[in-house]
Amino acid sequence: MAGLPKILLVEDTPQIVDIYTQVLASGGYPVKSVGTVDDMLKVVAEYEPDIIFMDIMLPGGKTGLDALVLLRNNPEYKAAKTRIVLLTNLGQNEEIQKMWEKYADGYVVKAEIDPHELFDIIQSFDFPGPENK
Amino acid sequence: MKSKIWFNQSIRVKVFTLSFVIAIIPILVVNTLWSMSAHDQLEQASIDTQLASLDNNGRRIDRYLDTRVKRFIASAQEFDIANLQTEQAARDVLQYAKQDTEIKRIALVDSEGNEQIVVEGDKLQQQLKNIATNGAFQAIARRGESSFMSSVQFDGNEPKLVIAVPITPDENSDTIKADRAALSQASQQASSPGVFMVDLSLATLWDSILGTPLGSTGYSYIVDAQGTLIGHPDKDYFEPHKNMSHVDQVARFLSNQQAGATPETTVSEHGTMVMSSHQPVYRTGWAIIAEEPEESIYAPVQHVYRVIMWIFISASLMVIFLGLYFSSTLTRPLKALVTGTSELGQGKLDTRIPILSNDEIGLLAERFNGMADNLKRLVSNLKSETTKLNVVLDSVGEGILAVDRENRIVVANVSATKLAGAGQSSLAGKRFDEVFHLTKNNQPFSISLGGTEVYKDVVYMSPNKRLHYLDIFVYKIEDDPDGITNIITLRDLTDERDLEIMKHDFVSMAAHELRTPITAIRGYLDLMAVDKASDLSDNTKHSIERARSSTEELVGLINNLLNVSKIEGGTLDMAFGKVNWVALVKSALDNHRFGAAEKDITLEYDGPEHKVFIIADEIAIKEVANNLIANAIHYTNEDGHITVSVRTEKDQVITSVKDTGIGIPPNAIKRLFTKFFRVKGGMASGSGGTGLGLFISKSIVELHKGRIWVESEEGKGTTFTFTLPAFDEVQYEAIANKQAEGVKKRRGWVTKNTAR
Repeated sequence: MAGLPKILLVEDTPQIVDIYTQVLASGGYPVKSVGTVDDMLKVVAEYEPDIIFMDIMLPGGKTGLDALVLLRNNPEYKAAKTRIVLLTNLGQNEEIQKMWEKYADGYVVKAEIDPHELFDIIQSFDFPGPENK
Repeated sequence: MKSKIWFNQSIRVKVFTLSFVIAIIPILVVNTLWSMSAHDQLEQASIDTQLASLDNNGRRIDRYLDTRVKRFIASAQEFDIANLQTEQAARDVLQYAKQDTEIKRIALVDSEGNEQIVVEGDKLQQQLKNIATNGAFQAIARRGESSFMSSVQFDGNEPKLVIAVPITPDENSDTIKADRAALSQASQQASSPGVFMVDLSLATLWDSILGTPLGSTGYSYIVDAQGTLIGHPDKDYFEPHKNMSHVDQVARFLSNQQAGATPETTVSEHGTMVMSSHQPVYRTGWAIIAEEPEESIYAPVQHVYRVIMWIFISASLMVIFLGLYFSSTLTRPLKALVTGTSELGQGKLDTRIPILSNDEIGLLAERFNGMADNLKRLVSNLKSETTKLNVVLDSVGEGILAVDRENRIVVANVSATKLAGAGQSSLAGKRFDEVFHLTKNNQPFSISLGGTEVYKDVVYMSPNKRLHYLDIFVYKIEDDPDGITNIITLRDLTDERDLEIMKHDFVSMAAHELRTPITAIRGYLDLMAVDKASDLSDNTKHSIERARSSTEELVGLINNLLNVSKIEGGTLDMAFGKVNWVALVKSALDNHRFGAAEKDITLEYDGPEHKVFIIADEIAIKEVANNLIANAIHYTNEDGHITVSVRTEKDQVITSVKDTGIGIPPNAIKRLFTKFFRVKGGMASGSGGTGLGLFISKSIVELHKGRIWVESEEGKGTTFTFTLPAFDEVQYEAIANKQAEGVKKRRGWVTKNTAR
C-alpha cells in the first residue's frame, strides 16, 4: 500500500476527537472525524478509510457495535475489509468480546493508552508508521 | 368361636348372665327332681288303688253270683216238680219271689219245657208257654248241667241275667215214679228234671261295683266276653252292649281273657289319657275295666308345679332385676373409666373420672386422675418449651426446616414459611423438594439429605415469581427417634446480592464516568510531553511528567475498582497465552529498581536463568508480580533486602517475594486477602493504598488455578508465595493452536492482523 492509511475517527467526546486528531495529524495520517454512526455511514463509502477508530457509546441511537454489523454486512459501504478498531472506556463484557472477535480487528481501552500508542496500533496492521516521528 | 362370643361380651352382660345362672339353675334342678319323684309316688299310689279295687270287685261279682246260684239250687229242691199244679206250690213260689227284690221273674218249668208256674212282677202269670227251645232250659234239662247263667240282658237300662238250675224229682215220690215210668215210655228224657229259672236283676250289684270311685274321678265299668258294654257308671254314656273293643284296655282284655293287667297309660273310651287296667271275672267271662284320668292322678303335683313355676318366674324376675342392678352398679365405674381414658386419649386433658366406688375400681380411677393431672402438667410444660423454641426459631431470619426420612417437612419456622410463599400456611407434611423448586446454574437442583452439606448460590423461585438466592445448609441428625433426619437452613442472600449488584453497578458506573475525563487529561499531557515544537522549560516538562505519572496511577486505581467489580461479578476474563515467566519476573524487578534504590533497598532475583513457561494472561499476571514487589518495597525500611525467587517443582512454578520488612500482625493475616483491607500503620499495597491489590492478586492467581499465601513475623519480614501451573511444550501447543495468528496485545489495547 502506497502512502499512509486514511483514518476515520468515529467519536463524540470533543476532547478525544481533538487529541486523537492532533496526534494522528502529527504523524501525517489523513484524518476525518464524525460524531455519530449515521454521519459515519454518510461519508464512509466516499471516503473509503483504511482504518476506522470507532467509539462504542455514541449518541443518536446507534452504537459502535451496530455500525460494525452494518459496515461488514453491507457492501455499499465498501468497508468489508477496512480495519476497524473499537474504542471504549467500558469494561469488556461478553457481548463486546464476541462482537469484536467476530467483526472488528482491534480493541482499545482509551483510558489505558497514551494517544501516541495509536501509531503502534496502526503499525500492528502492517501500515507505515508516522512520517516525521 | 363360642368362647370368643362370650369373651367379647361386656362385663355387665357377663355378671348378669353368671348371676342368673347361679340363682336359677338350682331352683330348676330341685324342682325337676322333686316333681319327678312326686309324680312317681302318685302314679304308684294310683296303680295300687286300681289293682286293689279291681281285685275286690272281681271277687264280689264272683261271690255274689256263686252265692245266688247255690241258693237257687237249694231253693229249687224245695219245689216238687210233681206237684206244681197245686195252688200251694204257686203261693210258695210267689212268696219266694217277694222275699227277694232282685228276682224279677221266676219260672218253674217241667221236664217237657212247659212252664208250670211263672211269677213276674210279684204276680203269678196265667199265660204259660212251652220253652223247650230256650237255651237255659236246654242246658239244664237236656244237657244235664247243674246250673246255667245267661248273658246279661237289659230290661230297659236295667241289667239282668237268667240263672237256671235243675229241679231234681224226689226218688221216693210216687208221682215221680209214675211220671218217670210214663215218661220213659214217651221219650228218652222222661226222667229229666224240671228247670228253675230266675231273672236276676244286677242293678244292685252294678251300683255297688260301678258306684265305687277310683281316686278322685276314676271309675270302673264292665264288659262281657265279647267286649260289649254291660255296665257303666255314666248313664249318659251307657248303651246296652255298646261295642267297646276299640278301647285300648278292652282290646287288651279281648286278646287275653285269662289274665288281668298291670295299670298303664292308655286312651279311654272318651279319648282322654287315663291310667287303666282290667280284671277278668272268671265265672262269667266279663271284665271289669278300671280307669283313672291322668289329669286327676297328677292333680296334686300339678298344683304344686304351678306354685313352683310362679316361684320360678318371680325368682327369675328378681334375679334379672337384681342382676341388672348389680351388674350396672359394678360396671358403671368401669364404664366411666373407659369413657375417661378414651377422652384423654383423644387429647382432652381436662377429663377427670368421677369416683363412684371405694373399691379397686375407685382406686384405679383416682390413680388415673392423678396420672391425668401429671400428664396435663407435662403437656403444658412441653407446650411452653415448644413455644419458647418456636419463638426463638421464628425470630431467626434464616428459614429453618426439619425434615424426615421421606424428605417431608416436620417443622418449619416463620422465615421458611414466608419464603415458601403466601398461602402456604403450614408446610408440615409436604415434601421439601415439592415446596422448594431449586435451580443451580440454570439446572434443576436438589439437595442431598445423606449427610451434612453446604450448598451455595442456589436459586429458588418463590410462588410469586421472585428469585431468591440461597445458601442452603443441610445438617444430618443421627438416630432421631421422632424421625427427623435433617435440619435444613435456608439463608436468603437475595437482599445482600441485590446490594452487591447495586454496589457493583455503582462502582462500575463511577469508574466509567471517571475514565472519560482522565482519558482527556492523559491525552493532553501526552500531547504536551511529546510536542517537539514546544518551548516549555525543563521545570514545566518535569511537572508534566509528574502529572502523567499521577494520571497513570489514577487509571490504575480505577482499573482496580473495575477489576474488583468484575471479580465479584465473575466476569474478569483471562486471555491466556504462553508467557516466559523468568523474563516477566525479571522485567517486573527492573521496573521497581528505581523505587527500591530511593530507599536503599536491594532487589535480588533467585531462580533459573533459562526460560520457564507458564500459560497466563500476561498483563494480569504481571500485575500480580508488580503488586507483590511494590508491597514489599512499601513495607520494608531503608537498607532492607527483597528477594524474588522462582523454582519449578513437579508441575508447578513457585514464586515468592521475601522482604525484611515490618511484618504483618497475626490477627491481620487472615483478612489480608480480603478487599479494602489495609494493615494498620502504612499505606497499603502497590495499587496506591486502596486495599485492593492483594484481593485482586489472589483472584488472578486463582483464575490461573494457582494458590497464594503469606508467612510473616512481625519485625522480621514477610514472604508472599504463589504457585502457577507449569506447562510443557505439548500442553502449550494444545492451547497455542487455539490462539489466532497475528494477535498483538498490550496494556490497554489488542489487535489481530488477519486478512479480511
